[in-house]
Amino acid sequence: MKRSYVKKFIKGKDISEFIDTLNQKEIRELVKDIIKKNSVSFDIFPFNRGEDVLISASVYLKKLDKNTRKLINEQIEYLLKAYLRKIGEPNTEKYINNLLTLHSILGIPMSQRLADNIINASELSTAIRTYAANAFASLNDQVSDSYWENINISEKPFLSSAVITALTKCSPEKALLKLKDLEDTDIDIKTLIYPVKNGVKKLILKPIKLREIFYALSNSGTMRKFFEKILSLKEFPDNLFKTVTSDNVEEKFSYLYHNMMKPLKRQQADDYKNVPINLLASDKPNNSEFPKGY
Amino acid sequence: MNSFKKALKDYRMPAKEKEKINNKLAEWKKENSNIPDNIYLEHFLPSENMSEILKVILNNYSGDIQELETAYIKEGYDRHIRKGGEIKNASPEKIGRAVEKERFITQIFEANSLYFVNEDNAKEFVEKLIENKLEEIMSELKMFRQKIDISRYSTWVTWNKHKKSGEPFYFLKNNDPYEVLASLGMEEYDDEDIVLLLLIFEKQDNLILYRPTIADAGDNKFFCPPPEEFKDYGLTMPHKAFKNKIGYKPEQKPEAVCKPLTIDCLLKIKELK
Repeated sequence: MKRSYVKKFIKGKDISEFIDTLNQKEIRELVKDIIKKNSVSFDIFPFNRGEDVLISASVYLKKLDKNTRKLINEQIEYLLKAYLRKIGEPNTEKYINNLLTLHSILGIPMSQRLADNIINASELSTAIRTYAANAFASLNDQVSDSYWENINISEKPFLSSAVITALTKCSPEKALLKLKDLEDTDIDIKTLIYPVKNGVKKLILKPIKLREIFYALSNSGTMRKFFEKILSLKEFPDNLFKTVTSDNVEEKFSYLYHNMMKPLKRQQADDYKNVPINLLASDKPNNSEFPKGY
Repeated sequence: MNSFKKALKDYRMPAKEKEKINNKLAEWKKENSNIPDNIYLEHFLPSENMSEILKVILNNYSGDIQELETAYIKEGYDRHIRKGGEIKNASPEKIGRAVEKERFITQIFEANSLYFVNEDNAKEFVEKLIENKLEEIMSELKMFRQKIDISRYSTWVTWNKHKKSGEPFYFLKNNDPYEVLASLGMEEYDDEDIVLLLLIFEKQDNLILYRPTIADAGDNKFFCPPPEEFKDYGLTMPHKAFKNKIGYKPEQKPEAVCKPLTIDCLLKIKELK
């Protein structure tokens, strides 16, 4: 287990200076030792009792400059490709999982081709495929919305957290409407909590939009119940859910002014003052599922 | 009798093998590792577990100490954690764990990766905990019947040995992170800007606290089994070098390991910087 990178490590020296001295192969050896949790890497990334070298290394490495993180990520991708060819062999899933942890914490986007290969590797557990998709959705802003929109989440519900996360960046409304496709699926609801909360946060100043989404979800379905729970979370203003479901325009207007104006910065608040009330009133959804009288 | 001697005796290890183990430990010690000394000092680990660990040492043929160390740590973590026996002579109502903030965020993300989607979500969660929005978090988790693991591994905890209901971090005199690092024998990651989180949990009745052993400690530099005559619980190994930084000599504190804790038994969290 003699590693050439070990000889270059000087205790107390800056990690970034140490990484700068390593060639590609040495970086790859280091990454391999981290994800395999070999003790040779423990001196470089010390950790406390109850922790491990993967966490410790991730914390050290994420602080490095972008170019250095890119170099490390290249080797992570190299190893991911290598382990994808070894699916079925002992520990391979564990190593892929650990590589994905390191990758997502480093914050450098993965190539679309590699992401596709992992996401579509049916021999891998859905948890790992979800993990890869989430990292890809969170870190890669270059992928077009159509890539995510074209994923059929009713067939692949394990990708729904990634799809909603990615679409929320540009189109939170489109993202949240994806919940419609998840009725009658075996989606693990916990994977949707943060993506949906993030979508709601982006639309919080547009309760009419939230209303459209709410009523677009099937009245008796589990997704509407789920969405209702999200809207009534304590982190959102007390009467967000009430406002979203209310038919009363006055109530909506009052909600916006009393709940949203206070936390807004002055400039944002001033901008909002210019929005005419009739714009709110006319922003009606045209969905047949709307209750009578809307 | 310590676990090492007991294992050799109980499993009737031949003299040749005993000698081989002793030679390997002597060679290992030359690499500045505290593991060999701790193997001799361990007395909480049952002899059957110790004998399995000794077999790993015996069967390491490569002669590479790093390889031996990795195999030893893996054997401990995979097969012999939380085997030091239940702590019966202490029944704290509150237990505490200290963790560096950045590491806690990463740990909590890694342990609950499908829930958080990305590390930013985990960060937001931890910030909320620090802002004392525990009630809000608990109601959300309850609503979705969700449990959040603090980490994947055994949790190392300390407590107030003077008062059953006392605060685990009662010993802080200056609210300085170094007091915690020094007293609990924690790794010093950075010279500056260290931010620690002090997590205080309710010690629920069904939570078993175990005496920590070499198998739980892995290769931790700040772990040492307590003196053989001390049977109650583990004791931390304070940093001697920190005396000047904190202005007093830190004392040993009680310590134990328990199963990975979840957020629902968290009472409060305090940021120390």
